[in-house]
Amino acid sequence: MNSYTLNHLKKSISEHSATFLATLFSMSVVLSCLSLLLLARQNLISMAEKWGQDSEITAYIDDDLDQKSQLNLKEKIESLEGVEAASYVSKSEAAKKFLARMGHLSPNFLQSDKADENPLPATFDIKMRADISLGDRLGVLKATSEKISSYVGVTEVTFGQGWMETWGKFIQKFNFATLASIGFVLVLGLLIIGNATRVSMERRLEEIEVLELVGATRAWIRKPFLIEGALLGLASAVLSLFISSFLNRAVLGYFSDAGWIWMSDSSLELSWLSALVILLTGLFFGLLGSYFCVRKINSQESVKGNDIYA
Amino acid sequence: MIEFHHTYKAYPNGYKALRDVTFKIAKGEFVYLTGPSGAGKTTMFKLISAYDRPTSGNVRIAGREISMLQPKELPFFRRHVGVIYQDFRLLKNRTVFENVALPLVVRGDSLLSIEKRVMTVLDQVSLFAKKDCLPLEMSGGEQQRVAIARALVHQPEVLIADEPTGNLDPTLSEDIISLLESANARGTTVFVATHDHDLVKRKQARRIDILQGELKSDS
Repeated sequence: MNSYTLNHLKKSISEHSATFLATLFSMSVVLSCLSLLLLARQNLISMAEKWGQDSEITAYIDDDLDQKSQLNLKEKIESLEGVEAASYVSKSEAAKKFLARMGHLSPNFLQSDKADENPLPATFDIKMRADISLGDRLGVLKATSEKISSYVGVTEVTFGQGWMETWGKFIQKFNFATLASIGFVLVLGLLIIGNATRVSMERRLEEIEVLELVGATRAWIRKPFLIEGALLGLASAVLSLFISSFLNRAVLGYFSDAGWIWMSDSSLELSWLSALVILLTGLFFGLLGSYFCVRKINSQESVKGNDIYA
Repeated sequence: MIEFHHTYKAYPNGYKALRDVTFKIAKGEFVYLTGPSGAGKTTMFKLISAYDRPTSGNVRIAGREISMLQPKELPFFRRHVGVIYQDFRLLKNRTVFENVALPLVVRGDSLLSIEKRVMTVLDQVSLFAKKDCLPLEMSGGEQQRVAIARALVHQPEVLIADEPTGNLDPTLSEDIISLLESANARGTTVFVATHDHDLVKRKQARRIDILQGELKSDS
């Protein structure tokens, strides 16, 4: 950065501080919206992943299945792609689990030792491999369930498809809304930076003319404006990260106080990658917004046809 | 160094600013261009500094045909021409030093050589002590000297001055012309537009007179 550019930046801030601050604030608000959207998306995915990792397939077994067939079935299930382990839960173990979970609310017949009074079926609790991605998980669960349900001795297979599908659709819609919002927010950002650069250029028309007069190239004249736009975008991005982090903590605090522990547990700070995306977005759109304005600078004619000899 | 050959310039509204103008100015000459307002002096200077192109005919400056210059070549061409205006065209928020250094900064010279060269030129125009002043803190005559220093700092082959004394009193005008003569003595070709006939009469220099876009005399 040469001394002229440094001077340009210093004078932009000192002489047009109101415009500079207004642009910085507007752009920060715009980028904060983007940060919060990314944060919300990140949290939704994180929740889905957390629940998805805990997801299991439950295969209900025919009461009449003998021990040898049970072992064969276990082997067949465990040989399926995507399955990590299948553990057999007998009727009595199922009753014990139910009792442990429900306590005194459990029906009396479960509390007796008579096996024939226990209506709960034996099951295989099937744990899926953790490395299956969230996007593939629903498909893998569906395919695995269909295969298992075709095996002899299996009466029913469930894996909580209802909530997973609903959650998946919600994330899909949220992704779409996020993309649309990102587009809108970025166009807004371009307009804000572009407007700031246009104002800066209007105030410097005379300077641009003099630069042309002394033999400055188009690129040389444009450079300080581009750097100004890029730095403004970057500064706005940094500020937006602070704003969104503050808002995030405030929201989490509110939900924690209101007893929504599950939400505060699963919510996160913006990841380093997302923060980097915000910083680069600020930088890039600052540069782009200024470029759309300064491309009008033409070495052959002064900006807006102003005549240096007029 | 400066050559007009059957040059015509007409503007889109039909106004003919120059009509069949032909003259040559050799390297190292000092020439005055005189004529009333609207005679075509400014149009001629626009062509010399490549801010415009002739409608027909040729304009050659320092061996370059203006009509043939590509847009990308214009900034580099302008580095061969120093221009001085009646209204100085200084950057009001930059110091004298920064204003004068501008052509060298644009050219990409090193800080050390810029400082050395600017100090030398400021010394020549007797503004060394005011290098840190802003233009608006100075008199009209001083501002014009800053403009001259800026036009000379990169040692252009041609120096054109459009009414450089137009806003100045006679004493200051003499000072400015003396500075231009000093630049000419160092080898720069100087072409000065003025409607101050008294000033021109006092000087023993070549004078080109134009009227309504036509060359009236060259003596």
